[in-house]
Amino acid sequence: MKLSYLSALNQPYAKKTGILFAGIFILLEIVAKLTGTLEAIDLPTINVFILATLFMAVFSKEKTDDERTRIIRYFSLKTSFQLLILGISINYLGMIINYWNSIVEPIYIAIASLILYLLIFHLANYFNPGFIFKEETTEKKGSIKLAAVIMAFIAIATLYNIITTIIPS
Amino acid sequence: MRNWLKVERAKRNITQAELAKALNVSRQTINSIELGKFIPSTVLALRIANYFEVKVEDIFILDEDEK
Repeated sequence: MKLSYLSALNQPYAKKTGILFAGIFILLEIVAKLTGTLEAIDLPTINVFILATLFMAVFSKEKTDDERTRIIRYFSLKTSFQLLILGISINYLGMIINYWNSIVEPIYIAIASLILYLLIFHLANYFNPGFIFKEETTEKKGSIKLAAVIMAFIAIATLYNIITTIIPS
Repeated sequence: MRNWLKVERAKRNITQAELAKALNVSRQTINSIELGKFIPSTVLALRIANYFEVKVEDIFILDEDEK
């Protein structure tokens, strides 16, 4: 694949096209699930199409890509990526501690994070919250403590799983 | 930091949209600057001052506690 094909994302119509087709495919999947005709559609293919069209919508160039837009875009990408990692971690954590038998398909977590990016970006762009533009000059100790607690929880859950696997019941 | 961007705009009877188009930024960016929510970069501040043909410090003023 030529890299020049990716330059299509720089076109202004790429975002609207991506959102339109993503909406159509998502609607198709929802209707299929509600009407019980899920077997009639190729669900994995539809999910890949949803992911691809959302990718096009999220990573296309903005109409006015000035510095304020870039700050909001960075904030939105950072937040959605954090939630993506958190979602995948919790998903596998649940499997590790045997809380649930089947895991959520990672593709749904990826789709959710892309949709979340679009929501956060457009809401922040419209409502223009001042906290996004504030420079973080002081260390946020509260967020570090929260991250440490989550990491400790994951470590304990992993250790518990290992121990219960080794020790026969 | 305070700014007199709205005043300069009013002197020349220019809308936020017109100024945004002239500076190649979005209208929301101009609005954010005027509301004090967004501090423009040095380049953008210089371009704004250049557009209004005034000095940067005539438009953007540091607060006392920022000096």
